[in-house]
Amino acid sequence: MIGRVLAQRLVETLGALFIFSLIVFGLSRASGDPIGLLLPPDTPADIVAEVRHTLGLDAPLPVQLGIYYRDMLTLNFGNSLRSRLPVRDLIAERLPASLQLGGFALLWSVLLAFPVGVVSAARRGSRLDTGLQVFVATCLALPGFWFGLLLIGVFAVSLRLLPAGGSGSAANLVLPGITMVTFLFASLARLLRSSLLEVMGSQYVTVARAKGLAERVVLWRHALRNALIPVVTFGGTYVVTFISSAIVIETVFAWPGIGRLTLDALQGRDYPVMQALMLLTAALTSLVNLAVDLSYTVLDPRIRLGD
Amino acid sequence: MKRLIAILGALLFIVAACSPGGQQTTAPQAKPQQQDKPQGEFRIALETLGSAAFDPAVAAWTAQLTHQFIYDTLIGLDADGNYEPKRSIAESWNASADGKTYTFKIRDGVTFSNGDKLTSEDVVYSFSRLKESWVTSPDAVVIAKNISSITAPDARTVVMTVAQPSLVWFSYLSTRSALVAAIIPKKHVESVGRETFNKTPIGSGPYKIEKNNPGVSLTLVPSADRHWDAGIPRWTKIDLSVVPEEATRRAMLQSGQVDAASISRGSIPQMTQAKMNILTNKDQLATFVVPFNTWQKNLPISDARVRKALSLAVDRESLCKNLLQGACETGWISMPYTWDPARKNFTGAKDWGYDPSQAKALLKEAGYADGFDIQLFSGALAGLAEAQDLNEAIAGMYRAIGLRAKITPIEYSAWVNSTWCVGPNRQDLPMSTMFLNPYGNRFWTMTHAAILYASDGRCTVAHDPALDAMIKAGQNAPTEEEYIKATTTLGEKIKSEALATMLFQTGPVFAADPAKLTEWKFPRIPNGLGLRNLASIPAPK
Repeated sequence: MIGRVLAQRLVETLGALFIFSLIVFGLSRASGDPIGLLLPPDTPADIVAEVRHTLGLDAPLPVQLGIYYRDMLTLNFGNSLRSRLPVRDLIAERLPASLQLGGFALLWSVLLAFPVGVVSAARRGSRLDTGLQVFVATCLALPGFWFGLLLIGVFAVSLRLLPAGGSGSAANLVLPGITMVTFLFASLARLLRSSLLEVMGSQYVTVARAKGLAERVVLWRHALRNALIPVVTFGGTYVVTFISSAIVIETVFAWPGIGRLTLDALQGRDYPVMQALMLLTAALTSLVNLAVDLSYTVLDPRIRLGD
Repeated sequence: MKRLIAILGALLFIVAACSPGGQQTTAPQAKPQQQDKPQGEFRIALETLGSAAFDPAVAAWTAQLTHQFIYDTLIGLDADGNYEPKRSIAESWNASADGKTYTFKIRDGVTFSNGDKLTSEDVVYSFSRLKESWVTSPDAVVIAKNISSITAPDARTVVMTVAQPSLVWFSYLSTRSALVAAIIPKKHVESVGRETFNKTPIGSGPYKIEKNNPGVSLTLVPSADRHWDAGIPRWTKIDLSVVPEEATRRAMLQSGQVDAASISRGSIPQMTQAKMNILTNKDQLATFVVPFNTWQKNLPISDARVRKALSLAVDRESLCKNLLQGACETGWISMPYTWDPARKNFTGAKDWGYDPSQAKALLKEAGYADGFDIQLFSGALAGLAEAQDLNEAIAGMYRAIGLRAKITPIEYSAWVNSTWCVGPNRQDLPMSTMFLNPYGNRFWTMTHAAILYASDGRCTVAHDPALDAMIKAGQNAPTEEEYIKATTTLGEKIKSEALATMLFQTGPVFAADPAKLTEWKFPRIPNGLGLRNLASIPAPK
């Protein structure tokens, strides 16, 4: 049963990726001609034509589309228009940094969001709940760009405790990590609280209490598991976002991840890099969504794939 | 709640302490000294390292920033930008009577960073490969098109025959136009392949790559104890990091994470207050407003009086002082008056003037006393963070003489591709359109002038047979004297007809820790920051 469902989901994912790839191809061409950024404005017209030809930019769109699919299917992704380096290598060099930052953010967000969300829900209406809600709302309201610069000002320039930017050591991970965690943790905590409050009003929780179970057991063992479904969905989506498009944070902290590579490719109209990164993001999103769907069956045994 | 307020108060206090007034660097001003071996590391945070390509044949025009560390070129330049045999891979050269054949004597004793000796065979290979079909560097294509043949009769001689003799040909063989004429090791490139070489190149320059993370960072170490041109490499290691956000670059500098950082002109006061050295070259980036379609008779811009009024309306000194913090130089023209960029002998360029009253009078005389609609394209421009502010200010100055100036935001590439450089027959613009355009001073040759001012130029602003003839005369000038004469005539014409509103020249600005960097000699060449000069400048005590 599960094999058939997975196969079906895989086919659906491939279909979605195909449609997405066409949209990416079309939009990248519509975004403008990269020649203006590759060559100085004073380049003679005949030289412009030659370079355009060499880069394959003068080929008919169906031919360019064919090359694009050939490169994607062979996982070659072609060469960057700007650096002429293989796109595959460029992504491989940036992906570890993105995974590192995304993993750090997810780990700490979960570690912080659970106690805050659960305690806040368990003490609903108390001064502690109010305080935590103010804190969470503040974290959500902090613009990442501003907060990142604030952290740099305090911890790098003033206190000289941590590096302002760059990568290469654990210390480099702290400030961008905190900036990223702030938003993700707050979102998760808030979602967890509201989800828990909804679940705590359910009949089965009332039954559990009526059975005489301790409130701690009711909360952590019975209510929390059911409250996790929206949290997992949200967390999964955001992890992909943080891996693939943490552009602001990577820019502020000079973190060499996929987000910056995406921004550079978009600004430079680097079609092969843009296309590969967009497809990578789409594929990652599809995979994470599948994993999230599978996790529902673990969290709530009443849910069966294919139902 | 009180505790929360106290924490917020403490945070604000710390932030205030981080402000320019609160952070003062007390490092003493360093004095230059001689050194007999590389010493210390130098770390610099830059907005960009240009294109990450290291193969000169495929590098985009922005790639030359770091190439200067790694490669030597066939023709070298002295500090003023003159061709200097002592700083060239070709230690001497001579040309045939018809100017078509050059014989270069290749310097003996030069080695690549892998230890291989540089020979005439490497020189021939470096230029011959530019003719291959995969080459994408525009200057490489220009060089390849003009070279008819190139041979190496012996290990130290190269004979190059060109299709079209030109006084500016050597610009392409030096760093003056680009860094395409870098000499690369034939044996090594053929053994590792193009792709590997593009990422981890080998050259004969003073530094070699230790680690390259494309678009992120580059670590360089001396390629030898002593370089034939740069001498003893100054630093044991040079780390170049790309830090896109300027506030982060400043923070890295102030916290000691880097020794120098590229900054915007607006940050000069803040960095000066923080006791950082400000190093800038005002001679690299040309800024001007381009009037389009001057040949279309129905447009106000086709009237020279209107164009002069537009020029007179702009207070260049004010723009330079207030928006660029003085890191600029007014009074120039985007035309060469000599084929030697160090000798800018066109004194008339100083007289652009600011006279709004005269501008109004000229508009009235031209029949536009009530003004007209004028569109200014505006966008973020690499190397000129203040571009949008400048456009706002210029629009205000135009409004002050009665024009109805409207700013249209546009992305630079889109503007170049769809509005400006669309060929010589641009007829579809309903209004006079302008843009503040900065880029490296490449208009030092008639080749480049032809693109901007000749009737058939790709980015032309004029259709004028007289201009075409002047450009032709310059392109065919047989001697330097003739060339100077032709360019001076052309410059007078461009200025008298106000075919471009020249604003000022500016260049990259760096802030540096005075304990690490006191001097950075920027070259008077169009491209690059003179990073190579970091290799040989005197070290501070």
